[in-house]
Amino acid sequence: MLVAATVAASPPAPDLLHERLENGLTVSILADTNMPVVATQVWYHVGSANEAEDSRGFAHLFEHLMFGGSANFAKDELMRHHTRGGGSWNGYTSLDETVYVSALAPAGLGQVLAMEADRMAHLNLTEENLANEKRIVTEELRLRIENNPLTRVGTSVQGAVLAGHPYAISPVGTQEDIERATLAGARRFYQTLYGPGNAHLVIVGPVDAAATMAEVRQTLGAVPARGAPPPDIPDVYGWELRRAVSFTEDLPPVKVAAMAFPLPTDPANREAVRVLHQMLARSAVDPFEEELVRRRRMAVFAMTEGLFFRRGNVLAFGAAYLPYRRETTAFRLIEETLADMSRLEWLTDETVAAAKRALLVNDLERRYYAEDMARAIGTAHWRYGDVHYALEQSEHIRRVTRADVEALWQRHIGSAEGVRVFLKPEHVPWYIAAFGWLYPLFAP
Amino acid sequence: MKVPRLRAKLLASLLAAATTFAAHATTAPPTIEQWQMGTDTVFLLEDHRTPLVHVRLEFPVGNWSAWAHDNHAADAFSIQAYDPERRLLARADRLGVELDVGMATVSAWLQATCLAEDTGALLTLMRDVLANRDFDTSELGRWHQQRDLAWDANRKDPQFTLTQASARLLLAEDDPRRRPWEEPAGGTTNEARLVSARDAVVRVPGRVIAVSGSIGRAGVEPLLDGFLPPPQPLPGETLTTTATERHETLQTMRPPAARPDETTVTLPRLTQVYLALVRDAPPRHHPDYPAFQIASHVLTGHFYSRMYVALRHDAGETYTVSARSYGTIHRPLVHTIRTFTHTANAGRTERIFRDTLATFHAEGITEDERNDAVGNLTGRRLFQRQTPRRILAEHLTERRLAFPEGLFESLPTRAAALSLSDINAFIERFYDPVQFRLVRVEAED
Repeated sequence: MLVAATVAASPPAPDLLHERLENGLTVSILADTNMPVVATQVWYHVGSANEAEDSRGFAHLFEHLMFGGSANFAKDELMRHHTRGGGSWNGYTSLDETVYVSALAPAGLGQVLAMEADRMAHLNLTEENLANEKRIVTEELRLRIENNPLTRVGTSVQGAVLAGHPYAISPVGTQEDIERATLAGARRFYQTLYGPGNAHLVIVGPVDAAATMAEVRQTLGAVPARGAPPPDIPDVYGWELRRAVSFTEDLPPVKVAAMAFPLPTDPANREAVRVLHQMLARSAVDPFEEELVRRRRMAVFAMTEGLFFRRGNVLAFGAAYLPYRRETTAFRLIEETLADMSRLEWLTDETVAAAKRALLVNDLERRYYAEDMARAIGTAHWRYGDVHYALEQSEHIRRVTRADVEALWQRHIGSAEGVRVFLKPEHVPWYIAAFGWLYPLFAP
Repeated sequence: MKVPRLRAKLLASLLAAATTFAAHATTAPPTIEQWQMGTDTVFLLEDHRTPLVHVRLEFPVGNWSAWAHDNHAADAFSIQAYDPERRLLARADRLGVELDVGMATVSAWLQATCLAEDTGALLTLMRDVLANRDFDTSELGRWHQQRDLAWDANRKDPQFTLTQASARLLLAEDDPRRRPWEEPAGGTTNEARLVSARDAVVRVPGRVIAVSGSIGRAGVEPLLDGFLPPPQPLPGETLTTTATERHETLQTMRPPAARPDETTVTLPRLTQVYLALVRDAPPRHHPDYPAFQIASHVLTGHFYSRMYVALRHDAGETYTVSARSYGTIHRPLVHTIRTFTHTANAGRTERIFRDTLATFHAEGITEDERNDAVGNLTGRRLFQRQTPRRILAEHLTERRLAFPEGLFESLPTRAAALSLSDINAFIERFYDPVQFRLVRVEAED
């Protein structure tokens, strides 16, 4: 029989070599000979949240320009190097960072380091590349946002709720701002934010850590020192959020109501937030859904979801109702459900232990993958300022108690006023409009 | 002053990498143990890198079976983990595992990953799920509601619509391969029927118990004694246990003469046009498959493929071009080469799209492109070996679909054995623009 209060210890973590080079570059190398591929990630600590008001989307546009070739490597060489060896490569821009990722056979690592060094030192920035990438990014924006009702309304909600906060705009930006981008602006951005002083190189895989560090010193370590992190941004927790927003969109015929609660990002609450999120949003039995959908039969479906960024954690409770439901009723039902949850019958020593066990399983599963471990190390360094957290998080989570989770709930959800988001469909079938109010009588 | 040193280092690295690159891609795969328990087969891949164990139970009945379709077996199999009191799911939560249960084209599965020390408890939970007769049919009713809402959302999605139109072009109306892109059929919430269907599925002979991770045979074998209920063939159906003996009709698609040259579907509010060049593609075990892999890689498979260069890098016509195949890998697939651009640019992009295909057909590929593609296929195998679960899953796929053992591992070698003229002969045959049909999703008006 399983003893719920015990959680198995994770195996000893492999050694992590971590240092800051003379030119300011931070380097982390995790050697693991069990992995068949080596992952290399270069984290530049600049994301869309660091953009100016009139240059939304620039960090993402610049990410595209980083594939434009460099002094010693043609535009296509990085990709061809990976493709011919069956490796994978990419780049992504989030609100908080821009990351260039590579995974391939260990023999290809030297070439990756050489090319990352060359584009950090001598990137080709040309009018021709900029003009082409503007067209490409605009097509990406049309694909991801303009022509997708769900992301379209998601972007509107983000902008409205977070108005004025750097997280208010999607990393893809706006067409107008993309069009305004200039080569001079790109050169400034590169000089100030894409130097070793604002970068973190992470290597994970079957490598000799000391020899690889020596190779890094000779390649990326030789890039002239420049660059520093951009000014920090304010935390969403404590920001004056718009308390209620409402949108109409071309959605399926349901009304969606959600209440979102900002949670603290400070280290004291970090693990309790993860345990709470696991209990509510990742467990098979979600107490919010159990109460609102299964017991009271008031919604078609309900869910709890978490959003986690460097300067903002949010836990949201959402429910979908048939479209006859009034906005005030929709939120009253959520409030009643959360009030019921505040009795904390779902929060016991046993359920906390279960959540910690699930987080341990996830942590162990990640250790198979060089790419996932590299991402965990990059995240730990940039978000938490502690690179070793990537390997020790199970130990930190083990220390979370039921009282920690209870305090988090009571202070930030149970006694807090959530942000209200209400979404209405543009089109409602006549039979739902006419007879939808009968739903509770026939709800499954 | 540091730049020349950096440059010399970069060039040295380039030369070194070019000569040693594929050396690590030929590591031999690990050994999979196999033994019989009556008509059931157990597979074990022992791997102690992390203290985790993955268990997958597989039942040889899928939703291509007419019996399964008529008896709502997919719903029955999936809902069995949901009892009205959520006792089973709460037990899964206590173990820290996520139960994955479902039915695909030729098989149903129940699987989860747990801490190695919990393997016994996980197997007990799985046994109880398979024996559960108290289904939460209200939950199933809500799944049906959510499925209908998802269908409503899909109808507004241009990428979904493009795939749907492509599938309709090639597959007959009653072809089960079309089902993922057609309006979902109504289900039942009759508990007795559902329990009966589930009971039948879990008893079909030819079941598989696959275990991978940090456990040995001595640890797992005692746990499996009497684990599954006694086998019993499906009532009134002559399903055999190998996929190749079923659904031979699924070898066929609509003949080219029955496929219109162009199909246009309209959606409201679009600001882009979505294009697909469509034809059928060979399944994994077809003799042409290695040549198809190489040709598809050169045409569309990477960031500097022919289509990417023509449509993205040369003039910024689009964000992506991709080749995607739909269906199931042991039958001919619906193959689409797809891209998109803004509405005003549709004519120009369509012309470049078609011209690039025509040039590829006329000229074939070069020796360098062939070598790069072979290197890609070989190197990609490394990713397949990252976890014991992945390695075992590939082995199970080969067995389930009656492929020769080791088929996936052999594909890069078979591709490497093809000469340039073999591949170009295939391209001349397969990529003839006449064989492709154009599907277009564009704005109304």
